Amino acid sequence: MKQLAKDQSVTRRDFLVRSAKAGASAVAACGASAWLYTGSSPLSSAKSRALVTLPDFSVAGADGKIGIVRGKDRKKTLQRALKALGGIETFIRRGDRVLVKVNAAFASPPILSATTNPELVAEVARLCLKAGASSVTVTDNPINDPISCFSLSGIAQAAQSVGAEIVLPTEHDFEPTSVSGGTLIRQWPLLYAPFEGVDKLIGIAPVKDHHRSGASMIMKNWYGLLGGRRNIFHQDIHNVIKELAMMVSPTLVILDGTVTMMTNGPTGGSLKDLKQTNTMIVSTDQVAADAFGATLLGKTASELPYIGKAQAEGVGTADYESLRV
Amino acid sequence: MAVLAVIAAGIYMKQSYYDPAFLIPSVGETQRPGELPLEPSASWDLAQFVSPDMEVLSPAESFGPKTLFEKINGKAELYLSAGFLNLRSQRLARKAAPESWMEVFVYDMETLERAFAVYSAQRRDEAELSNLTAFSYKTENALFWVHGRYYVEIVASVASKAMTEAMFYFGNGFVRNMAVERQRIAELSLFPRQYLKEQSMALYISSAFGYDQFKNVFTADYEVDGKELTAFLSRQDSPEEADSLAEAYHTFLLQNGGTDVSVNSSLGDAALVNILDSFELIFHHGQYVTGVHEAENQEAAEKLGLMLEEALVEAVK
Repeated sequence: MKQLAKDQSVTRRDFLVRSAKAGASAVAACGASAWLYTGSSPLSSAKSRALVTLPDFSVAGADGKIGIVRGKDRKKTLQRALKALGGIETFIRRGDRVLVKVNAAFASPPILSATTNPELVAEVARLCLKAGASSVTVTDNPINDPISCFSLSGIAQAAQSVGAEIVLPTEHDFEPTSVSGGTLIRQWPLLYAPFEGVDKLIGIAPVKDHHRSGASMIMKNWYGLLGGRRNIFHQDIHNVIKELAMMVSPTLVILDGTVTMMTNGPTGGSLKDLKQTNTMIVSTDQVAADAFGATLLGKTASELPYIGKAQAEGVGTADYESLRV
Repeated sequence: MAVLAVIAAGIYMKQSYYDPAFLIPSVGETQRPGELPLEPSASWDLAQFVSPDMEVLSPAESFGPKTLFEKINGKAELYLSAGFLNLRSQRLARKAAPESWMEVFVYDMETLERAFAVYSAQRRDEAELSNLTAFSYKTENALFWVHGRYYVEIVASVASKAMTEAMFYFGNGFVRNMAVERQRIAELSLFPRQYLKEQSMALYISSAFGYDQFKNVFTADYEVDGKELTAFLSRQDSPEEADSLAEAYHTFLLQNGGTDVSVNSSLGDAALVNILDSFELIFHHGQYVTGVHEAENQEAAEKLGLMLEEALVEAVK
C-alpha cells in the first residue's frame, strides 16, 4: 500500500502539467461551443424580429367590382375587362411602384398553363408603366428553383421585355408574419422584401384544378408568398387559403381563364388536361374572382370550401353576379 | 468533466430544436433541389436513353418522400399515399432548337401495382394508346407509361413530331435497359372483356369508394345495355377475410343511407344496395371481394355481377 501511495503521489511539476492540460481542455471546449453556437437559432432570430404585416393595397372607392370578358386574345380581353372597371388608371397612378405576384410555381413551359401566362404578365406590366407607374416588379416564391421557374415559364423574358423587373427570392427576403384572426399562419416567414416601398399589388393566376384544394386560382396563388416548409399546410388546405386571403388586400386581381387546367392539377403535364375556356376575369374582390373561376372548372363555389370560409371572414363575396359591371 | 457535459448538453438542446416555419430552403443559383444523392449506377443515368439529337438541359434531380412536394407540390399526396419511394427527373433539349425541351420524370413506386395505381389515377381521357408497354399512352406533348415498379412521364414544351420521336427514343431505351421483375398484373385479367371500356382499369390503393377499409381495389368501367357501371375486385389473404370485408362494406353502405334490395338468386349470397339513385352489388368468391359500383339500374348490376362470378370461378379453379 505504501508503494502504491508513493506511485500516486503528485509532484509540483506533475501538478502544473496536469493543470495546464485541464486548462487547455476547457479553452478548447469553450472554443468549440463558440464555434458551434449559431448566435441566433432560426426560431429565435425570426421571433426576435418584429412581425410584419402587408398594408392594404386596395384603392378607395374601387372595391367590389368584377369584369368578366370572353375571348381568346388575352391582351384584348384584359384591356376590355380593365376598361369595364374604369381603366388601369383607376388603379395605377403616376409614380406608383407596382408589385405583380404571378404564379411561377413550376419550371413548366407556357403551353401547360401551370403558371401565369407570360404574355399576360407582359401586358399587365406594360399597361401599368403606360399609366405612369415608376416601376413594375414581378415576383413569386416558386416550388421548384426560382431561376428555372421564371425562365422556363417564359415569365422572366416577357416581363423584362417591357421593362419590368424580376425579383427572385433569397432567404434574406423573408420576415415573420401572423395573420390577424388566423390560427395557421403564425410567425411564419413571408416573402416581404419585394413589398418594401410598393404602392400597388396585382395578383395574376391561371385557373387550375388542384389535387388537394380542388382548385388553384387567385387566393391559392398567395401561397407563393410564404416561405418555410409550407407544404405542412396542405393538411388544412382550405383554412390556409382562407388565411392567405385574409393576409393580402390587393389592388387588383386578374384570373386568367383563357385556358383552364381541368384535370391533374396543379402541375398538369399534358395538353389533354387543358380546356379552352376563353374568359378573363379582372376584379377588386378576390373571393368573387375565385367564385366565378370555379364555374370554369365545372364546379360551384360551394364545392370549394375555402371560398365560403374567406367570405365568412369578410374578405369578399362569392356572389360575383352582384359585382358585375 | 461536469462542466463539459453541461456545455455539450446545452449545445445539443440548442441545436436540435427547430421550427419548420423558418427552415427556409436555400434558393438561387447554388440551389440543388432534392434530398437524395444521385447514384452512380449506370442503370440510373437517364442521359443514356437520350436520342442523338437531344442534349442535357439541366442536371438530374432526385426527390424522396420528404421532398417530393418541392417538385410537384399539391400533387405529391397522390404519390405518397400510393407508396412513393423516389423521383428522378431531368430536362433535355433539342440540339437544333433548344426552346424545344422536355422533362423526364421517373417515379419509383416500389411495385408494379403501385406504379399502375398512380398511372391509372392520372390517365388522360381520349389519349392515344402506345405500344411501349402494357400500360402506356401518349398525348400531343407527352408520353406516359408503367414499366415494372416505375411510372414514367415525359412532358415536352412543344407538341411536335420531332419531340414525340425523341420521347419514344427515350422510352424504348428505358424499357429495354431497365430490368424489372414483372410487367403483368394478375387481377386485371379477371375482369370480363365483354362490355369493358378500353383503358378504364384502375387501382385504388386506399379508401376506394369512400370506404376507408377498402384497400388495393381494382376497378374497371363497363357499359352494359347502355348503362354505365363499374366492376371492382380486391384480393384478401383468405376467404374468411374476403367474406368479412364484403359484409363490412355492405354495412357501411347501409349506414350511409343505402337500402337492401332483393337480388337475383343466381348470385348466391350477394348483397344489393340501392344508394343515391344507383345500385351497389357486393359478394365474395374465394379470396376476392368483388361486385359492382354505381350501376344505373339493377339489371345491369346483376348481369355484370354474374359475369364477374363466372370469371372468378374460372380463375380460381
